[in-house]
Amino acid sequence: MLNKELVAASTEPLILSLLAGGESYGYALTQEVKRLSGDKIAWTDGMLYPVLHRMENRGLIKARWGESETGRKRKYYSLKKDGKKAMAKHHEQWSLVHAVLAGLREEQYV
Amino acid sequence: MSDLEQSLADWRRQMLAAGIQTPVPLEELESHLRDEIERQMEAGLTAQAAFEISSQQIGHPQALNSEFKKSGRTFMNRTAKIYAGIIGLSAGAALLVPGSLQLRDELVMANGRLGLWLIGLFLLCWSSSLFQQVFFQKKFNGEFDEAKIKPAKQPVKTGAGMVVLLTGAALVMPAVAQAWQKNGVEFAALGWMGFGFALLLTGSLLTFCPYQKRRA
Repeated sequence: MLNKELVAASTEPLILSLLAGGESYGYALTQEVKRLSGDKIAWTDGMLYPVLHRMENRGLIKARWGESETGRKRKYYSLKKDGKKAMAKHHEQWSLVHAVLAGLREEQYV
Repeated sequence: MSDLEQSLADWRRQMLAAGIQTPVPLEELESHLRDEIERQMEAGLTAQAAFEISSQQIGHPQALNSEFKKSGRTFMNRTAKIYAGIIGLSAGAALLVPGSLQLRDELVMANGRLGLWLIGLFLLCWSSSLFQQVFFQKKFNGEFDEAKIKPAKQPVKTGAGMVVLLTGAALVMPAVAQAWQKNGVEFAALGWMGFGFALLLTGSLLTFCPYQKRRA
């Protein structure tokens, strides 16, 4: 399992990247992250929503109420222009961290 | 009402008692809870067991409410800020006109007009801060690499803010005293007062609104 700090820091870039694939809703986002991480990233279900609302307030994503296949009310989120920019920036920063770590690892073991 | 619906109704009551607002975000949380219950039941659990596990996973009502409060701290949403900013800007400009015209023609400003002029100035500053939050949000969110500003240590920032604040107050005082005693303000005093207000605003921002605290 990923540690708490890393899970918290990666929540926003993960949400932005998931929404880049099309609009989605909270529950589907948590399930997708679990699936992609092989259950190693587990968001506390309810805690995702304050993050989504914060991102909505910051103009990164937008929301609309719709209906599920069973007719239940559901809130769908999608990416806004500022969200795309923020995602690109996150990718750049995380890639940099990854590249530095990979470089250090090569230096130590090769 | 089935046992599951009864449990969900109890869960809703607990959430409301903890301060979670309805319809948002309670409806959204309930939708999530029902999705998870369905998934657990498809995996073979009974309705009650699925509810117990799912409601635990969604989190404790008090903890959730505290997180939602943090996310809702911006007291207005983007659209409301834009409307309020436009109204504030228009009203502020309208209040500034009578005093400014008198100042241009007679090089003094009557006491009553000065009051309106100051309210107008305040409204302009307030509207500008709203527009800044809406259109230059990155700087407000503390992205120092974007703003090309390095975060100073908090005590230094607060100290500098207090010095600027007090200097501003000292510059505003003579004009206020003149307005009080002579029922009007001379042009030079008004100039210093404007500068003093700018310093008061800058000092307040430095002291009370540090960049680091604005990070969501």
